[in-house]
Amino acid sequence: MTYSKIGATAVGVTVLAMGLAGCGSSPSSAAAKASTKGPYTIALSNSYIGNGWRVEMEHVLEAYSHDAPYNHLVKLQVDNSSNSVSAQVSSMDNMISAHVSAIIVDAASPAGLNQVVAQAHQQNIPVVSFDNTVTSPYAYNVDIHQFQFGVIGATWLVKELHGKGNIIMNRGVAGSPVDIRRFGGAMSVFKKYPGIHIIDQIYGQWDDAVTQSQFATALASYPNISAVWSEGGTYGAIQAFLSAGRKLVPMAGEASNGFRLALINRKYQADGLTGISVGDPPALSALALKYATAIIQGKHEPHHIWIQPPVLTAKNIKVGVNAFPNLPMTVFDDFTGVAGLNFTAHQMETGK
Amino acid sequence: MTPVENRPRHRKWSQMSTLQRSIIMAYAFAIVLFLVGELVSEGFDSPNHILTILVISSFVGYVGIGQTLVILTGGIDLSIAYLMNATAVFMTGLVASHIAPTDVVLIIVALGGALVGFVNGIGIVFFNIPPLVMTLGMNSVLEGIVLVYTNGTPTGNAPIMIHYLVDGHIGPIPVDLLVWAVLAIVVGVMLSLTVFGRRLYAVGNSVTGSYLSGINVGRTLIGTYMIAGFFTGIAGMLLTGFAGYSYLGMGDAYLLPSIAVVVIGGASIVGGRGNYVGTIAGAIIITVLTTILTILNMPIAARDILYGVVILAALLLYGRARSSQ
Amino acid sequence: MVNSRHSTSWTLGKDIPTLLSFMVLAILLAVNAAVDSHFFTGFSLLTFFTDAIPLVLVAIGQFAVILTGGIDLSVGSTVSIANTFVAMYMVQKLGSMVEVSLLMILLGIVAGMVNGIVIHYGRIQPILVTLATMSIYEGVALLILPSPGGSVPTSLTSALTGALMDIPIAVIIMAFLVVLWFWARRTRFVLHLVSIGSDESAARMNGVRVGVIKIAAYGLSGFFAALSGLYLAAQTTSGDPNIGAPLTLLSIAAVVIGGVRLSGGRGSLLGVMAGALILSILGSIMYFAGVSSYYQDLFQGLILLVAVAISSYRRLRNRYMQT
Repeated sequence: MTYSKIGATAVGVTVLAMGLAGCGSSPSSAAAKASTKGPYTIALSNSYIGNGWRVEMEHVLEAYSHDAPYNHLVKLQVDNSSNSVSAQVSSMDNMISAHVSAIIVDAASPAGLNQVVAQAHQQNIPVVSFDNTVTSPYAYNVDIHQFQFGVIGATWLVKELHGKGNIIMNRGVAGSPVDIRRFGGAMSVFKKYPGIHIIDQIYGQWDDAVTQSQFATALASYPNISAVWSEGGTYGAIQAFLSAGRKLVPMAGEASNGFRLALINRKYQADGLTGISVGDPPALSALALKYATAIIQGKHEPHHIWIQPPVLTAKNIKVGVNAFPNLPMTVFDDFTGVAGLNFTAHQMETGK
Repeated sequence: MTPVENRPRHRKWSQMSTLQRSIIMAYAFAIVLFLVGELVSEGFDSPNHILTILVISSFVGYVGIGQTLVILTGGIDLSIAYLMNATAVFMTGLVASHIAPTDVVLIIVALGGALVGFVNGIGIVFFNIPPLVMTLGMNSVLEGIVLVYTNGTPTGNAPIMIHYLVDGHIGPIPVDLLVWAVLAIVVGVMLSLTVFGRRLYAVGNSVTGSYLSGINVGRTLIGTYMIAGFFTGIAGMLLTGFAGYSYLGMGDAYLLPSIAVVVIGGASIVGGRGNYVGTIAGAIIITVLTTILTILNMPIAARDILYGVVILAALLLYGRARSSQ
Repeated sequence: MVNSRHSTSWTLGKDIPTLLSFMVLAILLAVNAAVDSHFFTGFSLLTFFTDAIPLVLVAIGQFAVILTGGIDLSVGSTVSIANTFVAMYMVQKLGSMVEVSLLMILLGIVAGMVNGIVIHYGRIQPILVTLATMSIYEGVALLILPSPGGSVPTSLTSALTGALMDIPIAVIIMAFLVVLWFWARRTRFVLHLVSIGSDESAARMNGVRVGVIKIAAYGLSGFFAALSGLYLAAQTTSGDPNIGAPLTLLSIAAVVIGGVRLSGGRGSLLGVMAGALILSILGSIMYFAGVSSYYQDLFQGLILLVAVAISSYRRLRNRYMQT
């Protein structure tokens, strides 16, 4: 009996409290924030932390926020969602509730966050998206030209192959806008050359291990592969060629440490490896922080800021500068030296 | 409500147990898929390519060991995804930090897998938590531990020994397949020739019956989850050998296939029926199927649909419960 | 007479597991209010309820299935089907909105009933059937919309995620679901669900049409999954073929944290809602308390295990100990 009373009361109170509090709510915008001198709380909402690029991106961002002038100007918060749009919406809702000064976003979906971006705008909180950018007109975007990423690699390959050959395309995460743009860029080049045959497209998920296992299958199926165009996981593709005992071929790939070191490896070069490394710098996050701060300070910034992807071939890869034998193969080497931002390997690895 | 039962037509066939029939059908199914593969792409059934496919099958095969043992008791293990990931990141991390010699690290990490299985078993036996929930919660906890331990970036590379076990060759034979064969024999012997194996089946068939016949059900279950955790730990370590390093989420892709391969291999999801020979067939079927769908260059949507349809077809063919209800 | 009176007790107070889940929720709400000083002002509360609704809906569908002793691993994919369908076909017209919503709900129900039919007539374990259809339905969602995109009428967004006379629509939806449950739990249908979960052969002997009820339970699961997909479309103003995936295991966790017995036959929808809210509020607490999001999975898992350990351990008869 006592149980039942306590029970009814507990449930009743909880439901009532929620309901009543709900009644008092009004979603209208809060009073506009007075533009203060800082420190500004800037929150990063990262859609997920499951790959090395994202980790580097966060470390670089943290390191940047610890350096002058941001060490006195910015208080950085980092929140990772589990790669689901709804989790990221909740995460950004919390940031709006906490009245942060600005939000920077690596988005789980291009349009899925638009509603919450609009809510942030209503509350005078600027949103700067980067890498996986959002389509909302209220957001600022910082990104590399993903279409160009595809074009650069493809153009180099076509030249290397003299316009003739069988190419396997190693795409990224199926359906992601970045993959679609990179692929579109590459195809816009390839389709101009009738001698170029795309014999297969695989989805390596931008991951060395997945790429390697997909290539293990593909290699067994195609005896004549003249080149590989890849968005990521290129080091995995090289591993698959080696363990199948096949001769290496020209490859257009990303800026992973493994791929760059392979490009300057004498043994691999003798075995037929040439290539171009096109970057997608993790330091985009630091740029986003820079722009977010400028926007809070009332500077007028353009809504879209495009960064040229950094491009290297074996000729200009330098050990210790843009390729690092003492770092893991999976690290992206373009964490430094892009868009005027320089970081040390220690900063990239620890965020300090 | 139940349809009239068809009497099996052939005497020999009918004399076999349900499990034997299922396993024969599974291997037949695998062979059919290989033939389909050859039709789709010339050279699919060349010895070299068959070896490649077997090597790829071995990974889901390794993961399937723990899952087979647990399913035989009527349980299920959803913690394998992050148990594999945890053993992988701890192995590469500890080796890189030079805390202990590599072989000591390998042993410690494998025992860590057994410890996780032990905790699963304790929760299931002493706290009466359903296996699905216990291992689901454990998976989440392990995911947290992996994230906190690695701080997002796993360090280190696969030790040379592990690399050799996965990638080495003895003549034309991949070492990986020998490893798989050894593990398969160990599991097979454990299941069919030891007292523990008999108890495991007995518990899967009937908890009450086992109890009445004097089996310590709790101890058998905890033992099973421990051994399963041990093998899953080994699977996680071997998986790093393939990639060369450990990375976050590396076990995710193996969770649902690990259940599928056990069941396609003729085991009953309610326990008591099945063996690892069937799981091997299941692993090969799933791998050949995935490979064919990849070669056909089908859109992802069609691959997902066909994958599901084939699993469903296999289940309808021989995964059905007896009609007496 | 179906022997299930004890399972849907009239006095909530005797339902200890549900009570426990509400106590946990109350504690977490208090903690959240302590770390987030703005919690009881409009925006936080509105978003708290709005963000929780998709999981609440899927969990209710999962609850219907788990009551019968089954499980539905395909709910997440069904959410994705509904979500992509809405984003692809709905336009800013009342006619279209009604039409597409109805079709989408129908799709959800059919997807669920297919599970039920294969499970019942194919005599295959629910976990296996829905494992296979999870993949199939995921493929269907990808067929409808291969990559995130599409658009959703703005009026749908404001109708579902806004507020009516200052009361969040989400709160109204939850209140409606509570009222629905107080009515539904006395119906023959729910009693039959419970009786199948308690003892299927006994239920059959008592004249319960097990097949029909089970298929209906899975249909209901698909129905709620479809509603969840619709709500997510409104909330994210777009479609995403992978949007439902994380909801599958979360929905099972919500049901279990809500004190529902996984083997079927016992549970309350109120507990399920509490379970879903508990899972939703964790992220918010950790954000405001400044705890690294790396710990979120750890806490989610621990809460699940502790909650279920407490409610299972109490039971005197332990399956394995036979004491």
